Amino acid sequence: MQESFYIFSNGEIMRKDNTIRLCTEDGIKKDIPIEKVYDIHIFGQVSLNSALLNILYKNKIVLHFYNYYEHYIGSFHPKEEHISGSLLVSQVGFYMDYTKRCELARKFVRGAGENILRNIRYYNNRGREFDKAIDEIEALLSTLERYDDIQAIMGIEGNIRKIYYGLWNDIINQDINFEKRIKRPPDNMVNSLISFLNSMLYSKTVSEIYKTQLNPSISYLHEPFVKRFSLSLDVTEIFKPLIVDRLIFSLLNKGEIGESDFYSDTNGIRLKDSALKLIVQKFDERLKTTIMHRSLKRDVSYRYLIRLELYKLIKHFIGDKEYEPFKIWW
Amino acid sequence: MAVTGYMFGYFHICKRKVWLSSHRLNMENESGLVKVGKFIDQTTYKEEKHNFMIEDIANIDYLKNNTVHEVKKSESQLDAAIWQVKFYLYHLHLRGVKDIKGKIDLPLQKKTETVELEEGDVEIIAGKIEEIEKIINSEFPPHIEPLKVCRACAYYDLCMIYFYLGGQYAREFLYIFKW
Repeated sequence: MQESFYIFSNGEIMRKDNTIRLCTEDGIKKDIPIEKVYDIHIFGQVSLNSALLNILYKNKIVLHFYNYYEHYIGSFHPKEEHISGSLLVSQVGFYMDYTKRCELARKFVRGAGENILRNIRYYNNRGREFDKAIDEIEALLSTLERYDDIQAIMGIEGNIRKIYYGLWNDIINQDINFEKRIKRPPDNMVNSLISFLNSMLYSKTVSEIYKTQLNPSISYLHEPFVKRFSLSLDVTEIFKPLIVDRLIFSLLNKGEIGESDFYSDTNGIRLKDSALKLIVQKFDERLKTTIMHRSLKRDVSYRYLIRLELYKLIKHFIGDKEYEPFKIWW
Repeated sequence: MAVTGYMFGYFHICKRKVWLSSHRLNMENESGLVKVGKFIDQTTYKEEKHNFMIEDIANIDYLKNNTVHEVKKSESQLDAAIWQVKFYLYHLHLRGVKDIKGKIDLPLQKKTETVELEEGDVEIIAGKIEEIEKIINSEFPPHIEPLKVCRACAYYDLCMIYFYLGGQYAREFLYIFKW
């Protein structure tokens, strides 16, 4: 079983024969066998050399970097090995044909919306009064088919999220003062958690796309020019309610994270190291959580669900089966 | 696109696999079973191996004493392996190589299987190659025909992701994407 490695300490990371060696500032050496590595996330201040990149390239391991404020800043993405010319042509074709592009964009929004509803219904059954919000979101989703315009489709997604975020003060039993989503920089605890975990999920999805023949820069809901790997943004939308939002609810409702776990300075607020480690650990555990897949008839992890979503897209692009977004079924 | 050795082998297992792999939709590096096969390929008969290539069409594991050798992990797809070796013999035959035989090596089972180009095989192989060309040149992949071997296939997840419970296989593969 391959694992994701998260590096919080400062120091050096290098190649040692056929392993990766991590030397921290306080002199601790740690060797990681290359076969055990799925991907690496670097939060600390680390120096590295080209010999390391070489071994990462040979083993097709993606390296993700985060800055001081835990914002995702980029990845070392080894040269693409899985290239299928015919899939690429078809992937571009679905972007070029605006009707087909809208069809896919609507599916991403529908998938995200259905999963958001699933989260709201869960809390609705546990004593919260969310009937009105559920009706509003269902109404928004039912208008989706009417729009043949990416801007309008994105607008619906924005409206759904606005209603959804409006409920968070009631879902979370801490005093969180969460008014609305603010991104650059996030102004309070919840915004900061959303931004951080969304970017973690984004980078995880980049790792998954890298394992397939899909081209990460051709996207449908988001504009392909905005970010380098915008297909990852599209796919991430569907999994945010399952992976990110539920994790935030759990962390805050169990009191594992609170206001005291953040520093604030002029550039927004920043997680304390201990809290950062806890969140990353919980995030990793969540991705490893398995469920019985009703089609494949075996246990699959949440992380693998993302991969399966990419396989569904491949099937859509090669004309095998029309794409249906992932919907939480349990 | 020329029909190559691996396509010819796959043809006897699953026609869909021929289409998918010829379109470079490879899933092999994700499968544990394939990793085992690769390991066996890399660690057995090291002295003999030199990967004899026939014009980018076939990659023969090794040639020794006028015999084409093909190394396999197990006997489970023996029929496909026999045809794969016959395909090599066919190509050598076309290029005027006479007096050559084939052998399948099964290092784990400590067994070998002899293969020869028999009367009429040349015509059969030519016919199969034509059929494979039709598959790889078609716009869409062939339908899924669920088989026992699917479970062990590297493409299992890609093929089966939409197949729901109850043993009822969704057979409505709509070819709706005509440009």
